[in-house]
Amino acid sequence: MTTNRETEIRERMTRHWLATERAVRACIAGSVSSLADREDLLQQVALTVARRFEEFDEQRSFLAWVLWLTKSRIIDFYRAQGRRSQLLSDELLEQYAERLVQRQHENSRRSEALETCLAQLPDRSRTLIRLKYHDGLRTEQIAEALKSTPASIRVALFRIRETLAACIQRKLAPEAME
Amino acid sequence: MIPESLRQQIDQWFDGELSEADEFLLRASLERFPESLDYFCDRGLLHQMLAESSAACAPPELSTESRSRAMRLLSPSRWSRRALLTAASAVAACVLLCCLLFLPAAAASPAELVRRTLAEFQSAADRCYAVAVESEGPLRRTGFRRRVRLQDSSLWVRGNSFVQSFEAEDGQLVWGRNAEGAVWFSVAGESAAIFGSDEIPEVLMDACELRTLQLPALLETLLLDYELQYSSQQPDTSRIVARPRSVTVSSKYGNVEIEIDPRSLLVRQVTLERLRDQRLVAVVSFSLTEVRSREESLYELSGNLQPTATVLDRNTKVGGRSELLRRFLQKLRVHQPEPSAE
Repeated sequence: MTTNRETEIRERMTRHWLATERAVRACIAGSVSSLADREDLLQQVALTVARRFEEFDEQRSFLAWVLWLTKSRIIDFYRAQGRRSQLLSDELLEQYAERLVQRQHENSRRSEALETCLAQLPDRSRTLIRLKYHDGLRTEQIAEALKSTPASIRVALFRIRETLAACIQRKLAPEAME
Repeated sequence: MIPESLRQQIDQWFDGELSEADEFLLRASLERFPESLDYFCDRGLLHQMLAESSAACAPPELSTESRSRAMRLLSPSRWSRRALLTAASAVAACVLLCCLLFLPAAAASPAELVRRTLAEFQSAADRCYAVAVESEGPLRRTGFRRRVRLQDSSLWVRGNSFVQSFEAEDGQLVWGRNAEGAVWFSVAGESAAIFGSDEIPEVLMDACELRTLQLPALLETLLLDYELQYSSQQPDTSRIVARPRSVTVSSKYGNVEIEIDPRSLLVRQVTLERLRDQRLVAVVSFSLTEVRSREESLYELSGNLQPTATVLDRNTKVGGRSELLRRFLQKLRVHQPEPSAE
């Protein structure tokens, strides 16, 4: 039977995790290429957080703490891989994590901006985004489904993301918030 | 400025689709361009947000055929077959990549040339095009088989920003869109109005699409939905004729002819048929006249006004701005020669 304290700890942990999961996923995705390995690593990090949550000092940033755990997992992952070298050196991985922490405060504004920007996309672009992220298709699969070429789809997706990124930046600019 | 090739590699990395050879290049580039880490970080977050957003959305409204096709592709047997195919074709792909990298641009397919042109398109570069619009509108009303040539104009473009000016008897007409997406216009530099990106009337949006050139969007459309063929190929000029694979109610363009310098990958000339409801409404041609860096204020309303000008914006009394828009659009239509019978 769980005590009130355990329930309270679990709730706090869940709240922290939900607020930071995006950055953790981004950290892993920035470091490991295989989609399956990314999911495995995310689960490992989540388990580690659950096991060690009582060590977390509430006075400090949860994201900084969880990214510190994530970096350790990523380094372990590459060590286990043997010869394959990391995309981001330890130093770059550190800087990458710092940037993720810096961006955390605008998390919800970014999400809101993205929704507005997505709504402004042409139908065709929205279809590509759905096939990529909702259906999880690879570029060549999208090309086959839409009777196009992988190169065209790759460029189109790149352009769409560029458009979305620029749109989000505009909406996050200080003058847009007035 | 982070090179576009690096930005594309970063995208492919987050898609989990970057080859090991490119991974090596990306690693080196991230070390060499420290400023790219910010881009890498923003892009990583964007991919996660898109995944979250899509997961929260209802299933896509795809056609049954596309959907079943996609589902077939996702089946495990298909995955393993594709994995084998991918592995077996890796060597061939490397050879093909080397060929594409080292062959001269003129030897590339039309689609490859358009793709490279799109990849090279620098949104920061300012280009000036002479624009001519031949309208099909009055033909149907008069019954004559002829086109009406609207007055020529000059159009500066940078990314999605533009400024277009027409010389008219009663003063210059100028209009444009700034980097924030606001559309503005000025009549003789004295009366002006501006619409924020979230309040642009449909009629103004239509005019933007008809009279301006959004190259990235056009090139993407060509790559996705068109059959491309060379109509001529010279060392300094490649002409490509693009025909839509199918025309639907939402198609904006019919046939398109595009002239690209294969060495500089500059788009020199574009002639396109503008469609509405599957009907030809105009033939618009854009001819490159100048490429040079211009000041940011060129695309802003403030850079195109007399000091004494009155500007109507969203805070202006209701009706005033709409009335000025009506007059502006009327002037755009009025400044065209009378049609002569064939």
